Amino acid sequence: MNGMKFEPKIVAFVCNWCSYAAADLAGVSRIQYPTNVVNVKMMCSGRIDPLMVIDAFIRGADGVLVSGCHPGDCHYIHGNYLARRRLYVLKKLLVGIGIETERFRIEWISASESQRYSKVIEDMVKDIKRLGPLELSHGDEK
Amino acid sequence: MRDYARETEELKRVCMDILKDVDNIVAWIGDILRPYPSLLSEDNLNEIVWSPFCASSTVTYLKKHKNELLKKNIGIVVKDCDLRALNVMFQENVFDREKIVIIGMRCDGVANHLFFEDVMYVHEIKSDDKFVYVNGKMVEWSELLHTCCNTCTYSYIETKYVIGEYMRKKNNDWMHLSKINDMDYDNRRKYFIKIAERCIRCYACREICPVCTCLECAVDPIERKISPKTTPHQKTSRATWIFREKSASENIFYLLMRAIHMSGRCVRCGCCERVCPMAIPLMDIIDIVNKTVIEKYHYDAGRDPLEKPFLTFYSEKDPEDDMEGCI
Repeated sequence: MNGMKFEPKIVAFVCNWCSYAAADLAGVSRIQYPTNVVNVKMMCSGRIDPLMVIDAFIRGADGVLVSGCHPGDCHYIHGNYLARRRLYVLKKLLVGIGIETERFRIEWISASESQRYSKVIEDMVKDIKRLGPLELSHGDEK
Repeated sequence: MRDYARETEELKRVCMDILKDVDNIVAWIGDILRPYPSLLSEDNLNEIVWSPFCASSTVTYLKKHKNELLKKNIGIVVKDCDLRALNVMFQENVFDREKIVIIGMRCDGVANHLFFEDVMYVHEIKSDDKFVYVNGKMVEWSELLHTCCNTCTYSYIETKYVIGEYMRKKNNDWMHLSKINDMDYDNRRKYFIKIAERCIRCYACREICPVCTCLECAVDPIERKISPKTTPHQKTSRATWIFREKSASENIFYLLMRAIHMSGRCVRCGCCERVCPMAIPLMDIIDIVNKTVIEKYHYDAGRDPLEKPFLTFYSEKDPEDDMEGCI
């Protein structure tokens, strides 16, 4: 490396009705937060396949955030409950193979919580900068 | 003492009884130290084998030939873990419960035949709670068994036809996962990447698994070509998740995918680890998911054919805590 500091790459899978609106509100209110994140809009957190999270990690992401409506307030009623089951099982699997708990975060951010969204991103970037890059496959990403 | 010759005779009698209602039975045939599942009817019923070496699941055979075999009623001989796999198939509507007649064999564990490779002709197999005796030569159960059989806790076949009795005490304390718990994150990653680099993606683990039933596997789709006629549903189910290259990054995806698709469905038969040509400890990875589902969500795969599959229902009190770094 030529003296450049490590900048983590974070992929955020956000649900359209609550968390994407929160991210939008953060932008409109000119809240300053780190630019290391790429938002991927899904209609509901229940649409998020655990394979998408694994795909993000092996293609070079250093951290993944999954965010949806609060349990009980899903726009499609049950989506986030089913996602919660799937994603916590996935989290245990990733911890078991060596991906630290700070790298994969599951949050429930509602549409008005724009401050919380930016704080979560800030904390993630700080934690992952401390942990370093996740070289899961010796950099042979496509 | 269990005498497997006597149990095989009893099994033949029960099969003759069932053959009044069904035409065929799926059971093990072949050499007594290396049996394999196949189809039996009244003419070749004498070839049936039952011994503590019947490792391959009969449910896999039934699933493979499902379309022709399930036109009429059929019988099947199952051990404990096979019965659970059959229950998972009933839960997911893959098989019709009315058409299958089940013969349960109470299993103490299935062993690796390599211990008895020098035996030319088997005239007697017996077992008790500590040893297996083949022609009088004895080996301890704990030496002989695969991890999944050593840590099996499923011991209550109560089907209409049931043969044999349990002799060995079974318990599971997940001690084989303690080596992963003791490693720190860096070492876990190195251990896992070393395993993934060995994989040759032969897909033997997927083919032998009794609960792997997808018509199109996520990493092995029928057709990747997109044309104007491809429907949106086909496009989503034929995504190219990984390339055919056998490199570490693609293999990591495949191994993690196998583990996550087994959440709430794996019956811990151990067939996948037994057949791997590269000796990959696949159950180490899948057991991380199994332990979570069994201990945190109190769900056992395939206990009851009328229960709902694990990922299709939820509870408002699903746990959200994750004990830092422990599995």
